[in-house]
Amino acid sequence: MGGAKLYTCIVMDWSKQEKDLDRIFFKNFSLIQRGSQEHKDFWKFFYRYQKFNASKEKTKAEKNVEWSASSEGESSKDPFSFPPVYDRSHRICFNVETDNLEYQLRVLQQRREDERKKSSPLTLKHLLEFRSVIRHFLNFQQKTKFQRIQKIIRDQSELPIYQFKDQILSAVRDNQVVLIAGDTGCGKSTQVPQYLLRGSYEKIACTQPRRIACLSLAKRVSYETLNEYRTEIAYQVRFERSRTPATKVLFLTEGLLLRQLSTDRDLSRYDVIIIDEVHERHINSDFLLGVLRILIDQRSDLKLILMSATINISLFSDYFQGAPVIKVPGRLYPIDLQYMPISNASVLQPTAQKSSKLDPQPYLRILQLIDNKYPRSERGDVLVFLSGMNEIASLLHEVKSYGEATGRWIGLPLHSALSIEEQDKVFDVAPDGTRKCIISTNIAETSITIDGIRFVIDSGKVKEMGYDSHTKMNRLQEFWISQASSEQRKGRAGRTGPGVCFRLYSESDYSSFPEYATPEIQRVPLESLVLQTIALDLGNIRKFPFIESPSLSSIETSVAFLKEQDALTNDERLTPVGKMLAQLPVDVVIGKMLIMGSLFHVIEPVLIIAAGLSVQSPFTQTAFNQDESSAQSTRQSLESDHGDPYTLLNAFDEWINVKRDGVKASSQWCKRRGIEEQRLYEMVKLRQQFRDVLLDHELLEREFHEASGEEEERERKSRWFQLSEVQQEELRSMRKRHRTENKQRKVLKMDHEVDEEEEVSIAAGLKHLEFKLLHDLSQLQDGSSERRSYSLRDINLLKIVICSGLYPQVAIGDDCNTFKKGSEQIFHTKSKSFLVLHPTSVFSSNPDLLFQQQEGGKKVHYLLAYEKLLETNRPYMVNALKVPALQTLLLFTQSIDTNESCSRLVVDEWLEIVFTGEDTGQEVMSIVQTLRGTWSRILEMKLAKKSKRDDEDDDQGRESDEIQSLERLLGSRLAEFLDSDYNYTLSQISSSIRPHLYKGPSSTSTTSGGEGGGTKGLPGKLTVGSSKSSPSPHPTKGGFMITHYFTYDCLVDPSQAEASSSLSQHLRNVWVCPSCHQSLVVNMAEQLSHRGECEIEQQAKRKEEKRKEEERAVINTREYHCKECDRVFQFTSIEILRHKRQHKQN
Amino acid sequence: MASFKRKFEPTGSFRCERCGFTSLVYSFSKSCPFSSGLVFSEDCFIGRDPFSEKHKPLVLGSRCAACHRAICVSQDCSIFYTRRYCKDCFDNNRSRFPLELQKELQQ
Ligand SMILES: [Zn+2]
Ligand SMILES: [Zn+2]
Repeated sequence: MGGAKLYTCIVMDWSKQEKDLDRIFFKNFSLIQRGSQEHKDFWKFFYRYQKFNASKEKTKAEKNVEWSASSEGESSKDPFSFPPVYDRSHRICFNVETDNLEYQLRVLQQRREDERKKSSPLTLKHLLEFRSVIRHFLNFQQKTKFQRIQKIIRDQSELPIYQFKDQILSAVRDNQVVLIAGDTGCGKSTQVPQYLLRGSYEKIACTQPRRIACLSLAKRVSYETLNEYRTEIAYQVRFERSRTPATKVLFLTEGLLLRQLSTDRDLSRYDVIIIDEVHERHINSDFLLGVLRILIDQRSDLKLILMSATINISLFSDYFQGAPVIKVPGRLYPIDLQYMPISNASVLQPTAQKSSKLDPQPYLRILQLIDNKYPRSERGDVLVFLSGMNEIASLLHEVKSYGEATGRWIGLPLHSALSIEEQDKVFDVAPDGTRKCIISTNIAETSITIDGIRFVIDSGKVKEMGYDSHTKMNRLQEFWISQASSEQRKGRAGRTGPGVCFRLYSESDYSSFPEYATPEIQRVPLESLVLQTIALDLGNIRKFPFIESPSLSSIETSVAFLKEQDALTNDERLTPVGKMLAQLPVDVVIGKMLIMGSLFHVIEPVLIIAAGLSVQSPFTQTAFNQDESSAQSTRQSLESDHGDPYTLLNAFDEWINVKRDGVKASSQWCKRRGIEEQRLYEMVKLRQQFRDVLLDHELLEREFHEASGEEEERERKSRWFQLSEVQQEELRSMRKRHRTENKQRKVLKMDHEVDEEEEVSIAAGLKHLEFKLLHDLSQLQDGSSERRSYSLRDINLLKIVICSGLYPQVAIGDDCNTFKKGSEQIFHTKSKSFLVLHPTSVFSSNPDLLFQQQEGGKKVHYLLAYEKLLETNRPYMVNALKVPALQTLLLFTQSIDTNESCSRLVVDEWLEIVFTGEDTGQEVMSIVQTLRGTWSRILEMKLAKKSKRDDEDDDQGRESDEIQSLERLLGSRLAEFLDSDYNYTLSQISSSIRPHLYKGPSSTSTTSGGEGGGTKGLPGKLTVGSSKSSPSPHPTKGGFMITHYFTYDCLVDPSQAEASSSLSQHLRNVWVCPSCHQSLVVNMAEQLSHRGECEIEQQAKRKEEKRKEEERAVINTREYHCKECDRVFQFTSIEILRHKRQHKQN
Repeated sequence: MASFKRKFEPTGSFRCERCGFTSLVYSFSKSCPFSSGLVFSEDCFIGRDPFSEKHKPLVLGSRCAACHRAICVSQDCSIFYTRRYCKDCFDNNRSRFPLELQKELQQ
């Protein structure tokens, strides 16, 4: 503007006219809408265009003649007749139409006059010029968009799989099952669904093992099919979907497809099902393959396509009776393979228990070798495969200092625990003269593909969560990899050009590797699988046609576990809990907590704890490993005496409150305490998802003020408007910035610090705002402050709910613990001894908490419940929770065996409880029966209600009433049970005593022979109150089975003479039931059995009577108009009299 | 302006007779079916801009003014100067086009 004095009269300062021009041209011009991205782009284009024209000689200025061939008249038949003067604007095939510009100009000047401003310098010539720039801009846009489309098509045709398009389509046409094998990068995941779509299949499902892949594939494929904003291509993952009736290709997770089976047995909504990445052998995909193999026999019209890497192809092909295989070669350049075994490691056995610290030297030597051998000008990065996160961290440290010393290397970690932003960094470009050294777990083997890798360094190790089905122990173990993954790792070096692979093991090591990795189904617990096979009526899981069966013992353990969890009956049918669990898309432990939490109406804290147990721990261990004692001490204020799940809850609540003060406050708060904020965000999300699951399955009633789906959407929107405009804009621009930053690969900087800081703050800010947008912060805060005022009773109730999931993962402290430090204390479960506290646990630093004496000097027995065992070098209990022993045991154990007077109980054939008070045992057992009976009854009713929902049912209201009153009963009874303190001793039963615990069947039958004239077991038809059946004798233990978990009088009582015991057990006395007040002639077993059922029935009866009474009342009332108070009442005749009397008295 | 929303359906498909590019077409005319503001100087095959959330036109091609084949707007298949010409007709009649254009296309 300043230096252009000479031209001021000629050159127009357009920037001052922007507003007027916008008003004239973009008021209702649909192609460029004011405020849109295009609008901004246009103005940028405009100034560039002006600059360009100014730089050109003025003589070349265009005349902007709008000439059209047709205006010359159709008569001119010569297709090569042109206007006399050449003009570049003739190269545009359209004109821009606007309102009459002369008129617009007059309006503008008039307004200026009205506003007493000086007239605009704009003339008609200017407006015409401006319009012509719009025309050029639109032309430019059209061209680039067409080029983009062409590029998409070109890229597609260059994919290796493109050559197989017709072959694939004809194979699918002619066969029911087809296997497509090709390595990552051949394009199968994106292209095959498109080929099918063009081959006019319309109901295509494509499963993925990972949620994130569903989203990104749907996006990619709709982009490639030029459908980006329409709905033919969609995804559906748990809780999220973009699916509509117009959807033709649906990307979904394997788990979700399995769930769809429960409502759509033969998956009739699809005509093609693609199972992608079958070679990864996830438990769900293995199961799905089995289900589909059964299904294809029933649905001859269903097409099945399996897609895999080129691993173990014949296994899949054979499983489907020799299904044809289409093998797509990957694009692979030659790779130079070098074995460089680490000398002392060759003796390493597959499972070296002590994880010896990683020696960085061999790795650094290879970096040196690369520095010496390959010129800096030649690009090419390094990918290192290590076994686990600790190894990555320690090597990263070394590589970074080596990189700083040489100025040639940038070290980057890659593993699944990183945030997306951190992960994305590996895609950024290293500056000239430097190389990236990406240090990764096996995540980079098949899941994440990075271009530009020229060197691969393979440690040959992998850490996997090994699972010991016998001890239910999770064990992070280091294994040698399989030959298949060894080859995969090597292949990563040859994707963009010839490469080198360094193997840090010998060729003979390689040949001793297993050919393929162990499939997940043989490594993990099978509970969900068992539940689903039963729920889907797929028959006996032991005979299910798995592609490779899990071990029978693993199936048996899972079945046993489900029985322990009260999800399966003894004859392996689903219990109410089991039915509920089979429907919930969460694992059994979490599922049970959620179910119980909803029954006991303590759902909010349960949601948060369940979410906390499902994500990786937000507490970083660095605070404990290093001497950063400051983080540890700031964290102490969050620690709860009750145990680690409560610490988690405290941290979450506290964080929610800090959130009020904005992003900086909360991220600083987290940093100081060594808490990873990302995990807390995940918890918020998961909490919401669990909530949705419960609402979805009617385990949680929508409160009246709570929004239904649509309303919720609206509410979310209104929350959006509550954000200030500045915040809205901030969020928009942050989102955009975030996106573009992620899209455009940045050049990495050597000096990380500044860059990282800034990036982190953007990401954190974005998350913070999105968090505010998606969740009702004030509601969360209400919850968190409510929890501060929790009474001990509330806390105990919550413990019981959490335990419902954790049980039988409970441990008893060793007798000698009192004299030991926290880290040395040992614990025992039924099947596993010598467990220790995890160093992050509150009990590890405060072992005294476990020996608390209650006021009054009574010793309270505690057990430790824990989430899981983690065995690294010792078996650690993770997420330990202190729970009251008696209540926890009796409510959740699978078996309670008692002596004749119920003064002595044996729980799970593991712990012995002896009551000191007389009759205490009987009272306790009666309460336990009532509680356990009530909640399974409620669950039954809820399930029945849900399945009846579709049939019209006017009894709904009454049923909910009954459920509610039962729930109230359950709540108050449980609270009483938790509050009461019984005097008892608790001890482990030693293995030497265990075989002599029970009387056994013979003793019962022989002694009963003489009594009461009965033949076997319980004699006589003398009625036993209201109980439906008399208790039957236990086949092995002796005594009588009162319920499936309660066996009465089967214990050998050392204190009592055997004879007297067996005599008294059949003595019948007159007994008055305290609940129904009936006098009954019963023996002890019958009495117990009666009490267990009576209470629940009485409750139901009372309810029914009350209802009848109410009905009667309604029938007998009539409208009564009282003249004195001039009101109309609904009164019975008695009430009328009473009312009249009232007036008289006054 | 009426507030009803029109559903736009494709009227057929377009295939370039030179390169085989294929796409759905919403009209073959001088005006745009989605929005006012553009007037084409000849009948054009108009598709939908796949990169825009709103209905926006994308010119896919038209007929060669000389040989009347359907051709796409790609630079390899056609040029536009007052009318669209397929690359073949342009090459065969190069001398009949303005010199400036010939020069420009050589660059
Ligand atoms: Zn073409
Ligand atoms: Zn032609």
